[in-house]
This record gives sequence, structure tokens and C-alpha cells, in this order.
Amino acid sequence: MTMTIWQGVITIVAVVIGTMLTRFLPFIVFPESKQPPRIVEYLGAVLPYAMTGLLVVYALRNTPITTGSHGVPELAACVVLVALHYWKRNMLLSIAGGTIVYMLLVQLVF
Amino acid sequence: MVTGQSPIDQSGHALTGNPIPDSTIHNADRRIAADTHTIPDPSSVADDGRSGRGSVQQTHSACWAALKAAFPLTIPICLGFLFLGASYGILMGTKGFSFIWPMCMSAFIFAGSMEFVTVNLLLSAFNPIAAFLLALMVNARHLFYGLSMLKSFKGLGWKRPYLIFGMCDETFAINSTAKIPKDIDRGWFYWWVTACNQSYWVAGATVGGLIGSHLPFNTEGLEFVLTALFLVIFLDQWLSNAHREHLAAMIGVLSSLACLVIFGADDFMIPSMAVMLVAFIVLRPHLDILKPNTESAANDDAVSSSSNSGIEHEKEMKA
Repeated sequence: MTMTIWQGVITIVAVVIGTMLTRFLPFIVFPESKQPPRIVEYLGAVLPYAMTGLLVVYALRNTPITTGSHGVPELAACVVLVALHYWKRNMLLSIAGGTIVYMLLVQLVF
Repeated sequence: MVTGQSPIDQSGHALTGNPIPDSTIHNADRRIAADTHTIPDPSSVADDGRSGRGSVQQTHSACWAALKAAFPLTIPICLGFLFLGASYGILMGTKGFSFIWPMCMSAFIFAGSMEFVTVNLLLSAFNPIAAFLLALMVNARHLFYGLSMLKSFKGLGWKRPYLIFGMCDETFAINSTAKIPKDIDRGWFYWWVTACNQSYWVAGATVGGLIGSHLPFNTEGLEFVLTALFLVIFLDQWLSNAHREHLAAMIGVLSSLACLVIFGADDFMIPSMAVMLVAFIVLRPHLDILKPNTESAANDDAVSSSSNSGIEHEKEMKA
């Protein structure tokens, strides 16, 4: 470590403040006691659907499409997961199935 | 507990052995029976006599019932966080930090990707302002999480600051989409999801910092468990909603895919959020039909959030 301990602590505190600002800001700007504007309520109703979509893309953002495995393990695992979920609708089963397929493929095949 | 049960079934079981007012028992039982075809346990009615025994006991059992409903949903996150947290702790260990550092950073920063970034910050020149700004940018997506949970976190008292503090991606994904049964205390449910997830992450990071890189089995690929979690939640939303919610979900997927192609994996988050925001504002006349759900949720404190009420409402319609 190149910094002193206190410089390290200050850096971490800065990161904590930055992170917490992004989490608390909406709740500070639109406090519990006041009714938020209609458009904010509308965004609050539609954003969860969109943010879940964004998180799926975010989680798969480093999939190598043109190099290495060409994303075959990811694709196969997602197909297995979707099929399992359509079939059984069991969250834990689908997650376990997809993850095991992915682990087997990256460890044994690619 | 792990196998063979959907989250709804689990919550259904959590119903039994828990004092609840008469009126909600009938409603909740009818709804759960319609949803999952489970037969309501008669003991839930027998337990009803306890409900008058003072508020401390009630709080206690509400807390316990919420844990039983919340914990199964966090199991995949437990796997993913122990693993990712451990790899983060190991990484810090290899850079010469004692386990105290990953332990404190995972507890206080509690934003996975930012903690990995902070390791590099600690190894470069001292610049707290740059660290602060970088944290703002990397975590900008939390702003949208907050907007989404404004209504759900309303009226939760002392639990609220911790729920906001601990709202990482995975916790948000569960809390914003979970179908919380009406007899489960919503504040405690959110609290347990948040607390379980954070404890997995801190435990993983601490253990990783302590043991270094001597893991007993080959864990390559285990990180996919969190990708799988997001995909399953996405699918669940897709399968239980109508075309307007599908459109909202597609806006999320398409805007982030387009920005991923244009800006690359490291810089696509903020542009995607901007595109999403513009798309939602432009399409508001078409999408704002979600409005009735939002308003019914505002009138009914028992309903956890607008999206939940929408889902539950539709389920009732189908049944």
C-alpha cells in the first residue's frame, strides 16, 4: 500500500459518502412527509421493470462474444435457466440449474 | 426448505403458526390458496387466539415470520456473495491488506463493484475527491432504485435508514419484486432481505481476507449465480405481467444493450439510465396506465408496493 493508513481511511470514507449519496438522495429530495410529483410516482412504478432488465445486461456485460468461448457457456446456461423456469417456475431450481451448467461448461469444456 | 418450493409456497407456510387478525386470515388464506393451490393449515386459525397478548410478542412473531418468508429468497445471493465476497477478500489479501480492510469496506461501502474499484484507488495516489466522484458515477443506478422504493419504504420508521443504506443490486432486485403475503410485516421482510444479504457479503469478504486463496474446490464460474438471479427475477416479472410492464422491461433491456454496444462494458450504465429516462418520459401517455395500481397502493397501507399490488391484483383476476 502506497498510502498511509489515514489516507486510506479518508479514501474509503469518500467512497462511502459517494455511495450513500446515490442511495439516500431520492429519499432526501422526496421526503416521506410530502407527496412526490406525479412523474416521480410514474417513474417509481415503471423503473423496477427496466432496472431488472438493465441488471441482466449488466451481469452479462463482459461476455466475450468475438473471442474465447464466444459466449457459448453464458448462452447455454441462460437457455437452460429459461427452460427450467418455464417448466417448473421454481426460482432456486432455475438458478441452480443455470449456474451448474455454466460451471460445468467453463471448467470442463472451454 | 431449498428444494421443490416456490417462494410463494414458502411464504404460504410462514403463514402458519403466526398470530394475525381475523379479517386478514381469511383474505390471505383465500389468496394464497388461489395462487399456489396449497391447503391452508388449520393451525393458523387456532393460533389466532394469541394475537391479543401484547405488542412485544406480536412484534417478535412478526419479525420471525418475516425472516421465514425472506430467507429462502436470499439463498442464491448467499452462494453468490460468499463466493464474490471471498474473492474480493482474497484480492485485497494478495495486495497486502489485512482482513480488517475488506471486512470494514464490505460493511460500510457495501456496493460490490465499487469495492473492487476502491482496491485500485487505495493503491494509487491519494485523491479523495476523485474517489468520491468515481463512487457517485459507478453507483448512479442507485438513484433509480431509490425512486422505485420511495413508496415501498414509506412509514417504516427506524428500519428505513438501514434499508436505504443496504440497498445493493441484489437486495433491490428482491425487495422491489417480491410478492410479500399480506400477513407478513413488510418492514421486517425488507429488513431481513437487506440484513441477510449484507451479512453474507461481509462474511465472505472477511473469510476471504483471512484464508487467502486456499479454497477447497474449483469455484470457477460460480459467480454466474448472481447473473442467474437477475435473469430469474426478470423472467418472473415477465411471466406474471401484461404488455405494458413488458414494454417497461424491454425499454430497460434494449436501452442498456444499445449503450453497451456503443459505449462498451465499462461506461454504459449512465448513458443507459439517461436513454431509459427519456424513453419513459416520451412513452408516458402509453405507459402511465400503471397509475391505478400506484394509487390503490397509496390507499392501502397493507400493500407493499405499486408493482406488488399490480402483480397480486392480476393473480386474483386470473384466479
